[in-house]
Amino acid sequence: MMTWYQILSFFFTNGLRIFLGLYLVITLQQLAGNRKKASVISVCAAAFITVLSCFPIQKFYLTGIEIIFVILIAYYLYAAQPRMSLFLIFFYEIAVALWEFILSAGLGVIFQSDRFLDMRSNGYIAAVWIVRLFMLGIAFLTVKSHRRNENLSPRVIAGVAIAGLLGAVLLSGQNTIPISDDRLTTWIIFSMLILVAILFFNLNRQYKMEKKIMLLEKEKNALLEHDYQTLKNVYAANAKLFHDFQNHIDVVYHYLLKNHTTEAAHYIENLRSPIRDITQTAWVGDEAVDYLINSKIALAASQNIQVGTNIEFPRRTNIQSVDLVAILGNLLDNALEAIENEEDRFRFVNLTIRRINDMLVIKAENGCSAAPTEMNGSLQTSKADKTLHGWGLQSVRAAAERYDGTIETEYSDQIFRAVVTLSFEAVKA
Amino acid sequence: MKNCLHSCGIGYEISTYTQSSNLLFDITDDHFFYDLILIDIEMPGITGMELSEKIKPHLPNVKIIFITSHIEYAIDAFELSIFRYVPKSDLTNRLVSAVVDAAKLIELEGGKEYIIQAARRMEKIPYKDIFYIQRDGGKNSMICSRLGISKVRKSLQQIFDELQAQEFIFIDRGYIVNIIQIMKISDSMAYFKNGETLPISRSHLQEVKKQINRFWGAHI
Repeated sequence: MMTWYQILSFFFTNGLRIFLGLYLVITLQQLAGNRKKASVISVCAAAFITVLSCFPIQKFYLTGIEIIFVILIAYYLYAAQPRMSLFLIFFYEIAVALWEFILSAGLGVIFQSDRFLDMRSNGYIAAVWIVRLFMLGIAFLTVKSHRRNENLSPRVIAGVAIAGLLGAVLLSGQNTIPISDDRLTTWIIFSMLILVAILFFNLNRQYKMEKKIMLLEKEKNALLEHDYQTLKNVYAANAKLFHDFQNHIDVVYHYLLKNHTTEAAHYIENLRSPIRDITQTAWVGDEAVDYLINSKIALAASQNIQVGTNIEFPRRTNIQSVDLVAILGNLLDNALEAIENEEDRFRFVNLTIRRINDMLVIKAENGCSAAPTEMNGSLQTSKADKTLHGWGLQSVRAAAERYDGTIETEYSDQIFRAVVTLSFEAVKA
Repeated sequence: MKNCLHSCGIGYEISTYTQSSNLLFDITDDHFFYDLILIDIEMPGITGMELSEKIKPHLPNVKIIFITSHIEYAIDAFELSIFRYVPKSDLTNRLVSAVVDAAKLIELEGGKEYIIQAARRMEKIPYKDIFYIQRDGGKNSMICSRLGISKVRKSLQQIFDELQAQEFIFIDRGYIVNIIQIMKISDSMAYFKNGETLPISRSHLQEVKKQINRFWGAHI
């Protein structure tokens, strides 16, 4: 039979184990949810497991029930992927059990008594408490390092796993207390499995990150290619103009020879429009960006869209033109596409670029008769082809985050507004 | 320009000078106050640049707009004291938007003051001069402003409620900052105009960036 203080100790150790396990599962998956509810439910789960452990049930089943509890809590309160949660909590439970075994056996060796290995003995309970204190210590350090924006956990987890393997190997070399070979071998294999699991988890995370970066790169390249194509078209028009120059001069010359001045003026007027398209206005002093803004303004004019600009751009910042093109290109494309089918009073786009202290604020506004639909706090595209959309704003966000910035969108008074802020550094010439 | 300020509902009083030295003496000797100064860069005698250097110590908050015949009108990124360059070639469009932008910013900085009432003293701190407010023990706070550090026997939350201004935000449980005084955000630190930096707590970082974004998005 268990005494009252053993039951109490069981309750607290179980509670801590479940709570910290849950914390591990949600932190490593970077989830956000209702922390209070999760804490309350994990206390209930601990009580339930403690009650169960008073009955003669094998520890194996208890652990299984606990794993299921944690997965369910993470799934319902944090919308965590059950597969990932299972993976994390399973190896967490193995690691905790491994360390409980290593410490109880270690204490047994030190005090030369095999009482410590009996799960109902006070010695074993002491070992379990030492493990819990260590776990609390690690959790505390992790929370603290998170506050300071460092990521401590991968190094600590790897260190604990390697120490576990060493501990298990060391135990197999002692003769003071009798531990069966089977049991030792199992634990050594488990500790190796934990190492493999950590390796797998890290590789998987890296793979996911690279995949995301790749998609963003692809998006950026598509944008650049698109802009390059337009640029090529302008150059082609330019080349054609020069090619035809001789002929044009001839025509005008003959008109003038015959005193047909109105025809000559008319002819020149026709010639001027392609030239006007090519002449650039300098907006920010960066060729690529200036070209982008000019081409979008030209596009807007051709679609009968009013464009208002208030652009002030500082020289010599660390902002790369590629990032600026990604941001402005996407914002302007979105704005122009959004008003494609709007009636006249909504056909306007305002672009404001302002330097505020050491920050650049970019604001793109467009008329919009109906509020855009939102899902999970992010705006949904209204376009029919949804597969490639959504990446535009993602790539704006990625570019903004490179400069400790962010993007926010808002709809009010029939105006849709996207604002990007970037923090820059002055670069000495 | 007058029409434009009128239509924006911005009150104004304009003085004109033909001699830069007169302006300089009015400011340095007679303590004239101006919110906004328009200067031609290319002037006989003292240049616009030199003039602005001399004015700045007397009017630290003044906004200076340079008018120039150069086509190259972008401000160098590390040039902080100049509000904007306006090229003479496009005076009508750009001067109006520059003046309106400056006027809006001046209005935003506004005339509100925070009043500290203690047993034997009363202190008034203009909002625009406040860099940040720091928790000083449980129920006390310190206001760090252009005027120095002032202690207040109130909790940070109490002060926040009294300020009633959208430019003040929490960047940590222990700090309220004035968005207008933030130069930039970099590596989870807020850089202030007085050269100080404060860390932004991880739990506040995203929200702080959002609030700065919303604030400037609404006011430019």
